[in-house]
Amino acid sequence: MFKRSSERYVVIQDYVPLHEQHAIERAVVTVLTPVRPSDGFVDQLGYDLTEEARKQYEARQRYVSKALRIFGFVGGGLASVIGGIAIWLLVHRDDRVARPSRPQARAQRQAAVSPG
Amino acid sequence: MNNEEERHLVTRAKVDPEAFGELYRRYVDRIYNYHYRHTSSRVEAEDLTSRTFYRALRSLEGYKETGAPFQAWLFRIAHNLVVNWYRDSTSHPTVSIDIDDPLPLPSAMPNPESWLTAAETRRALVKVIESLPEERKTLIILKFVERMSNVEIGEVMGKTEGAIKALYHRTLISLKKIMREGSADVQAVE
Repeated sequence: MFKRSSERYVVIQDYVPLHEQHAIERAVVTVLTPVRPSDGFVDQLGYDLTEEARKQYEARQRYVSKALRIFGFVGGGLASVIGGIAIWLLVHRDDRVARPSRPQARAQRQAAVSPG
Repeated sequence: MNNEEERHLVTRAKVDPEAFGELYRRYVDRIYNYHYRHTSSRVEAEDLTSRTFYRALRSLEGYKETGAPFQAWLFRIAHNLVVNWYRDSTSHPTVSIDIDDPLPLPSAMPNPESWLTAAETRRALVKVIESLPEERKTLIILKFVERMSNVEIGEVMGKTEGAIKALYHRTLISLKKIMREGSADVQAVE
């Protein structure tokens, strides 16, 4: 048969009542008093870390500026090539518009030669 | 320092070495204490503390605020190093307890505070805690010494809040049995 929920589950609170939990906590806190590192160690590590952080940030800045220079160089080169092509196309399109196509030119010449 | 100020400090620390130094000064004692409680050695604690902060410095750029406070992130780094230390070290304290004198405990569950009246029994409790498995010791330190919530402890240990609650109660039951029986064998109550 089905058991009632209170029978099916173990209630942990029964094993360690709240006042005992608090008592254990106080006992643990009493013995685990904080242990501090020596001042020499703290100062030395602090100095080393700050230096390391400075080096790391400088290296990162150098990397970023180098990446920007490369990007600028490549991007500038690409822009020049694309710009050159665009200008060439524009110039030659104007030429094509100004100069009539061959069949048109032949028709114009024939019209000029024929008497009628 | 409240959470908002700390968040600003962490953001600044990503680009400012002085801000990282400030974070370091804020946490160095607690991280050292955490490592010392696991290793029982000042040398090991210093080594693990410096490795924790160097690793934090390297990873800080990728740190993202996800709701958990910065301390949980930092303690997670410390916790991972401690786990590696337990795995790698052959010199860390073993799980079995070696207490020279039997504990003068009454047969009924004593008041744990009165149980600690003698210095010997205090030392014995320290040994009991030191001899707990790594996971339980971490929980005890984070819960009682660092006063972290179950959610934060879960962030540090990579577990759910429910798993932390269950582990907490198992640890309490285990400690209670040891204190009641004055047994020197932790494994007997596991």
